[in-house]
Amino acid sequence: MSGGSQANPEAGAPVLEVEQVERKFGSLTAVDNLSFQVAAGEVCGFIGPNGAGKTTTMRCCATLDMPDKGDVRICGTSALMEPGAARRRIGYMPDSYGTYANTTVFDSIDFFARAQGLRGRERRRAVESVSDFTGLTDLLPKLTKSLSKGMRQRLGLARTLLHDPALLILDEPAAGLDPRARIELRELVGALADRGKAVLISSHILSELGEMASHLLILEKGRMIASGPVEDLQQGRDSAGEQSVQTQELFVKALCPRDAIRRFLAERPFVDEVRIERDGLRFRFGGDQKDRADLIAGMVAAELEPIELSGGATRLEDVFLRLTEGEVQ
Amino acid sequence: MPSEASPVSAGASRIEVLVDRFNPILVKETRQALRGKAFRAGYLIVLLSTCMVGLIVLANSSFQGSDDSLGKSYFMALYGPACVGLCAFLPIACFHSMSAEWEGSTHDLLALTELTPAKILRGKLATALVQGILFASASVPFLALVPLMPGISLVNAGFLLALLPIASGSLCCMSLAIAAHSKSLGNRGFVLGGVALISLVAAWLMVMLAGFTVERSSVDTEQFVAIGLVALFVGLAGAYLALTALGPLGHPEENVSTPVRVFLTGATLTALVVMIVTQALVFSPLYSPLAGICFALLLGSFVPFLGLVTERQGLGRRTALRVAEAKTSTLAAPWLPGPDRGLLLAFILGLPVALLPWAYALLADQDPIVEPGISIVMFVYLMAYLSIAPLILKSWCKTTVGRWRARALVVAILVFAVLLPQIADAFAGGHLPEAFFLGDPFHSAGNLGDPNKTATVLGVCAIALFLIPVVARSAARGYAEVSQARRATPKENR
Repeated sequence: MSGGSQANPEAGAPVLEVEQVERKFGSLTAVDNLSFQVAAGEVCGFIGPNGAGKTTTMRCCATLDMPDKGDVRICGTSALMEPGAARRRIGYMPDSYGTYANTTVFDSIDFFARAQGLRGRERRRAVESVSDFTGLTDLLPKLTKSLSKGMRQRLGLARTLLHDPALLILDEPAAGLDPRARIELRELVGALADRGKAVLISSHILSELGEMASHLLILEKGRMIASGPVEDLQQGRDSAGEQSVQTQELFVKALCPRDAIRRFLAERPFVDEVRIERDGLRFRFGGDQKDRADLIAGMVAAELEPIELSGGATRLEDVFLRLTEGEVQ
Repeated sequence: MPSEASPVSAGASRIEVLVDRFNPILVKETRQALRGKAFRAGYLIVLLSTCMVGLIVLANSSFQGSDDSLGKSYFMALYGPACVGLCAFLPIACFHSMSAEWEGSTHDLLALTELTPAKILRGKLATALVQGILFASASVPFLALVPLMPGISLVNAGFLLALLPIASGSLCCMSLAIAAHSKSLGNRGFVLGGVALISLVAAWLMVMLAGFTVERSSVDTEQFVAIGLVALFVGLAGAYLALTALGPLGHPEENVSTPVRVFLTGATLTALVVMIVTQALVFSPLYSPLAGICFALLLGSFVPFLGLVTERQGLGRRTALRVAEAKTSTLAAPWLPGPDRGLLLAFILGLPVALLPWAYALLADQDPIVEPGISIVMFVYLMAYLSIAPLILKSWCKTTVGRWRARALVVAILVFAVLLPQIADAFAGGHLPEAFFLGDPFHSAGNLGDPNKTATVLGVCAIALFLIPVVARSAARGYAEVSQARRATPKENR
């Protein structure tokens, strides 16, 4: 990526390990016994209501705050015991833009390259490389204040990449961006994951996060209430592979009359809230994969001629609302 | 494609290698300043006012013929704008530079780079130095004519010119320290107003001092000693303030708050003890200014020991962090607003204590520069205390041996402060008041200080009565914080 000198860990190797981290502010427990891992090449989405402890956790991971208990390891290095070494492997982008007045894009990137200890040719290469990657090359002579929000986010990302960190911590990078800038950001994050970076990213735009992240962590009141691959969470399974969400919404379409299907479904176990829609029927299903297979077999046996049974992957917003209390803490 | 380097590109690469060695903050902020309107406007104003005022003085003198005071007028005409540029504009620019780190949340980004808090601070001071040199360059062509003018001592002019960067540097340190401690946006406008006021008053004082100095044919030894010590005090106070700025800039795991907290607790108690003891001795039949000062210094010097014993020097990182969330939410002054109240207290207390001896001399209708004895002793003691104590505490107090070394040095500071009148007298050629000879410590200087004493005693007692419960509460709170943190942290995690 840049002129940095650090080798990235192999794909799948844990880059960020958060172990039983606790952080209190007076009587308020912002982060409560939180543990998770992010591996190389993985994009981990961090979701939670306002005040859930996302930013505090991210700051602890970025060595900008110290947990009261527990430890954070970056590529095996304890951020608590060897924060200097851990810092060299972290790229952190805060939720605010953080630009300097009267500074061009080049000056800004160049300054952070100097601040990262890059010198001479190495610095020039790093500046060129990150400018190219983030698509800022043409904007280098422009003043930072003249940049759009999307471009400023690119600048923020460029700064975090200068020293080629193994871990990227991006706090609300999509906030305030227009749809095009969001798509571009998503592509950049994807490209970073392809290059073996571990990415921890928080966002309020859940659909965006669902598309960007491979794993999700849902936080509420400082505690993790669900985690796992995005598909599993949408299917209602958590990281242990257990069904944490008991019911899912399914859609069935068949060649036979819809009333016949409704009658059939009404007699089946695990089926509830059957609604007739224009093309078929929608219902809540409380069974597991085996029960779902039995349901399809039953429909075929009853000669209902099913042509589609879909759903089960609920929207991330629904998962989020179901799991959290929806309160601002 | 590799090509043979041309002389131009070789030169450019040499420059680049040179610039690479500079502090990144210096490079970035110099670029920023040169691109910004404020610096360009400020420089232009100083340049134009220097040119105009210089030319007007010269033109005026040429109309009036030969004038013996031309050198003074000309020098003052140039010195004034330079004072405004260096003592008012630069400190305000420094304040903006540091507060921009909080406003833009760029401090978090800097914290993850290779830049240490000291490097950040040095970079900002180096930027101020470069800008100061640029400001000064506006006056240099005109100042070069000063030796040709009649009526001004070159020694005096050189002395004043040497004093200017010290005052400017100190004010810049102060601004940076205040800005570093003003993280909250709500306070910043108010604080900026304060910084601007202090800077303007300082610039005015410098002009006044210049007016006083150029009136004399030459600065005598006593004045050199007195003003030099004041300059040293100002410079070291600036350095101390810069040191306190490291706290808010530090990483969370760095226990940098310790020296600041220890020092402020100690300074508070010292100030109190010095004031009470000095004034209490007024009622003693054996009272003399020197006796009072000696007792005060002796007792005051024990205060750092209290700090060393009671504060969190010996605590582990995690335990120490539990003591306070905010780096400078010091044990001192819980009644003051804001998390950085300790710093505010240092200002509130430190300044009057430092200026008290001067006030005494003024009240006694004496020239505070001609009779500098008490002032010098108090200034040097406070200066040494202000500058050395936090440095010692920071670097030495990690081990038992270091702590003993620190204690020994604190005693050495005391001895130095007591012996200082002798040294000052040697410099002053035996002109200091008799009362400052150790051979006769209880000799009364009679008319020194407030002749009636009543007003001063009442004032100081009132302050002391107000401070005693507050300081006692602070100290108790400090003990409670430390012991609570010790209890809350398992032994293996300390």
